[in-house]
Amino acid sequence: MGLTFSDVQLDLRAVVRSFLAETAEGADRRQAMATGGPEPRAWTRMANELGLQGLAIPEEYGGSGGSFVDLAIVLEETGRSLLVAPYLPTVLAGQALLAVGDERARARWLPAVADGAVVATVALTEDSHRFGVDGLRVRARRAGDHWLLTGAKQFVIDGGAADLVLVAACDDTGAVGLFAVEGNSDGLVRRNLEGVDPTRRLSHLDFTDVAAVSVSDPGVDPVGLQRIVDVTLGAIVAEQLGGAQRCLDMAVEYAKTRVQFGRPIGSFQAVKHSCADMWLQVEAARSAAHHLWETIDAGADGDGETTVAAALAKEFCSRAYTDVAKRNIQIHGGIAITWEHDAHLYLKRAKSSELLCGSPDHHRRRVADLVGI
Amino acid sequence: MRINGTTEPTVHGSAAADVESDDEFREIVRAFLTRNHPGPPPHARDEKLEWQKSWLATLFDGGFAGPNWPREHGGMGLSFPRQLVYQEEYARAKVPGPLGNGVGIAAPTIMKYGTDEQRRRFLAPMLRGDRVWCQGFSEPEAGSDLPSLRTTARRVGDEYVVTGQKVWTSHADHSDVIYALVRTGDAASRQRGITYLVVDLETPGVTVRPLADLAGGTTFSEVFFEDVRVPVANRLGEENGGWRIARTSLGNERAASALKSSAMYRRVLDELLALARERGATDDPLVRDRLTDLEIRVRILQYGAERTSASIIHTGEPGPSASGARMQLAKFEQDIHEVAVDLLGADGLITKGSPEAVQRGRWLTGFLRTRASTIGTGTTEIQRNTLAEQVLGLPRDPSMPS
Repeated sequence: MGLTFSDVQLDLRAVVRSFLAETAEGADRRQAMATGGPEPRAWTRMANELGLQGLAIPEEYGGSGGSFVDLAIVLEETGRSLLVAPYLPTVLAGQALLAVGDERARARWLPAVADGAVVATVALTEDSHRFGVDGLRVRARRAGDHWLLTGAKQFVIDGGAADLVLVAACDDTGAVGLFAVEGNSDGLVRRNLEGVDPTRRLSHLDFTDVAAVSVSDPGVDPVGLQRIVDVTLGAIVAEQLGGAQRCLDMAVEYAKTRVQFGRPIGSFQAVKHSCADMWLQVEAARSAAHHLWETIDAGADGDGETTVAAALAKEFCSRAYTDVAKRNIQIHGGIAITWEHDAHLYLKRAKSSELLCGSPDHHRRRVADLVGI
Repeated sequence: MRINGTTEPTVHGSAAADVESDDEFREIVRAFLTRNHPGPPPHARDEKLEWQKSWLATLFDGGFAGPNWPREHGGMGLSFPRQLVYQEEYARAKVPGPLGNGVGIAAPTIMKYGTDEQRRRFLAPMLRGDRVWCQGFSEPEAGSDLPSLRTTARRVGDEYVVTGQKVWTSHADHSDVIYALVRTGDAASRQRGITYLVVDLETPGVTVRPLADLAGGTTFSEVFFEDVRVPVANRLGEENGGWRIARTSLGNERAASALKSSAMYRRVLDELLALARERGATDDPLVRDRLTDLEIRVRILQYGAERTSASIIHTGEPGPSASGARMQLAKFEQDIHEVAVDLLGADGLITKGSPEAVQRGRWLTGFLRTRASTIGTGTTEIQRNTLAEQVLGLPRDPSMPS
């Protein structure tokens, strides 16, 4: 127990960081925010030069066969850079197909996900507070060899741009399955939301008898469906960790260089203590995240350990990221209250990641229930 | 040692350390601790002290003392992973730990900077518990600013004559030896004029006065020195070279300690959860929420300790996860005790002397005592400064003396 990174993994991180610094930050990021998506060549480069979309997809489907930890390393970097691109939802769709998909679904969709040809997402959430596979209301009813979906999904990441939407829906016994829907299907209305985080696109999706192919029939694989939830949380905390570390780095850099009263402000104890507290938060978040990623890679979760680890990590990393993002602004002073400075982007990503996929309160209650407090 | 497929019953600790498999090592340690368990502690203070010393002697004679001490100095010289196994078994067995604080703090300095004669004279009796050591560093006017310490030592022939006062000396009232930092340089010499001396507490001129702590116990003392004569042979390292050597530590004991502490607090939280359920306190969603917060934090402490272990095993260095561990733990132990007192309500206010006290007042006593967690061995204010400067590279405050 206790994650250590191999030289290959350290190289992966360095390569991705360098690529993102060159293509996804500063003016490039502002441009992507304005146009609503990444520069298409950057997305293609991510797939072709770096194999990022297919990193944790098995080689037989055109991926690199990497572990979840490998994927988490990349997500830390995309979180650190606030990459404006549908990378998170696309790789999560890949992981969902691997968690529950039958061979047909995998063979049909994974190669296109791996080579960046398809933007994908998973539509799970149906209300603003909870996140999980219980109590879903989107209905799936059989129609010959396919299914028809009716209902509403909310806060779907990149739901508006997705070519492939994987939808968790239940049959009339309440058993849950996973279904594949093409983004431009008849009966699917996609409403893009104006969210506070300009680096991430969210949509509400309304389904009225939308044709869908079953990826996993209702009731067949509840463990696999729970894994999709846990892996989603594992991916989000990776982004949160990367963003939180970036906020710490920004604050420390500013404290070293900003001079007031004839000395760098980092020489004042109040600023030092705030930075130390940020560091403590980030290190604790890292411990929670690493433990979760390890349990995800350890395999199928019969004993529920991954589910507890996921709820705990999402709860803690969410609050840590928001706290650190606020402190980063505080340490910067007035300059960080401007649109032009990047600090607000991190605050907005922090706050929205905190409340998407289950708020800290939601996950805290889950930890209490799962652990038996 | 496996002989004919069975474990030989009386394996000496030195041989245990050499067995090939960790599982076999664990069995041997467990067997020794079980077979030699000293039973429940006596209540009377003097009897309890004897009980502890007797146990430490048994441990030492059996070859199971000093898991992280080098073998040449009487320890087991265990690898880091084996130290973890040892600590797990030791905690599980619920046997008493070392007396005083010399074993973890003075011993490394003696091993690294002591003469052969000093090592022979000091180490084995310390490890065996025959001589109990306590630390004389802090003074009434020198706490966080320890380099300003004022207890002086005047060189006269082959002795130092020591005059001054130490405070917060834990265990001094049942110790035999005090290891002290004293001033041999001029008044303004700070770190450059400090010498490390080992003083027998029976020496004429030494007075130990126990201090009552806020929980009504006597966990620490004042120690007064009035023209106390200390042989130069009791000086560790060079004259005026004491500051540099005072904080020597053995390998990765901080990391092992973090693992031990996080495991211990897992158990303490389990005990609090059991108490809370027993009293129906978990029916209150606010109480439940606070307990869940502690649950999350104790798990994160364990995960952090695991990261540190993994880092040591793979790279030899504890890595960043070790730096914050003490502060996180200090806050945790304060919070767990306060959450406990709070969920007991007014019942939580009853002190241990009363028959109505809940669990002999352990949570209340702990709430009071853990005020020291953020003060002793470096206040959290100083620790944050150190973390900011050494880990984050933030600039020193120019108005602080160097």
